[in-house]
Amino acid sequence: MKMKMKMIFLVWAILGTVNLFAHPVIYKDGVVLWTQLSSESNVIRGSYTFDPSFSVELNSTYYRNLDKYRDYTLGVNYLVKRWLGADSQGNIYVQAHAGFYEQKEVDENGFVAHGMLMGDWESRKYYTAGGAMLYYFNDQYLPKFNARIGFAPYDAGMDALQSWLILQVSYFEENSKNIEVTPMLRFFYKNVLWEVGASLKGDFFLTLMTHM
Amino acid sequence: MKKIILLTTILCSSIPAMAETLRLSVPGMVCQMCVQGMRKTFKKDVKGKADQKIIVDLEKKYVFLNELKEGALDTKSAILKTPNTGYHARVAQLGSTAAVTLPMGKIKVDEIKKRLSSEKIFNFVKVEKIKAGKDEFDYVEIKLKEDIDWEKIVKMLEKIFPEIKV
Repeated sequence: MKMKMKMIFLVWAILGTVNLFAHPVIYKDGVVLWTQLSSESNVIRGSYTFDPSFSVELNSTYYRNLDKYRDYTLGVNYLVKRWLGADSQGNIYVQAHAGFYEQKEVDENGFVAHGMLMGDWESRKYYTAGGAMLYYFNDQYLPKFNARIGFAPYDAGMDALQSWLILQVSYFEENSKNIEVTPMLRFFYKNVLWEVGASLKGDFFLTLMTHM
Repeated sequence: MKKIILLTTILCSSIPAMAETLRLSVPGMVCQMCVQGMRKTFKKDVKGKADQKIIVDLEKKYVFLNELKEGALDTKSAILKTPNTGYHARVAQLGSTAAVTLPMGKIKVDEIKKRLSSEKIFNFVKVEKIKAGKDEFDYVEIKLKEDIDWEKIVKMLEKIFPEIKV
């Protein structure tokens, strides 16, 4: 078991996530509405989980510095593996999306596809996540990386406000040019999750998510 | 006489049936999403609102389905249904029936019986192969000879079957 957990950490360390979507696959018939807003990008997404290993989602992503790129995609998420510990869990997910993109500043549009490999490990006290994403559009491949680490200052019980202090590191050369470090606060109350933070450059960061 | 019979009938019909609680031990639950998943999955199995009747103890990893609807679930169907939440139940209890899920084929039936006989309160009922979600298990059903605290049941079964520990 320890070996398996080490493997998850290794995958996380190597890959680092992208638009970290809490768990992209949840419980059967679960619906997730999710949006992530920052100064340089925004994402809006809705997903439906058919069974606890498979979900389908609609997504729209915007990158301001990528010639005002916006896409509209349909995607699938698959839970490749879940490890359940006594007081922790680790997950590996893959995601594939395809759809349409447009870049208003350069008047480009066409087919876009993106894929993601994401891993996380969390207990009631600690949280780590990471992933790598690859965009394909306009005959180019653009990688994006993101990683997170966090801890909860207290253990929250059922229906109590769960709070996390999280540090996110992300890199998407074409949009932000540099590695972005974003400390944030995450709150989870019943079926609503929200994250508020600002990067070290001063860019704001907000996530809102609800699952039903 | 008729009045007495009528009164007795009215009194008896107004006494609600003893509502039962189904208990599950579900490792790996860490956050509020797990709570919501349990409520969504089992909401039709309890009387009243899931928010009030389905209790999830995130610290001990227990799920309590209070005021279970009559005939809605037994230990086996609850174990089979739990994977819809993304998790697995390893121990379940309803009334005098307890159940444990063991890795399939890891312990022979005679050995299961022998281990259970080491505790006086357990009576072996059956072993059955089940598929809960994508995983296959040996479902072991046990009769409890006396009323015993749920947490003690879990601890005793963990001791008898260390294989169920995550």
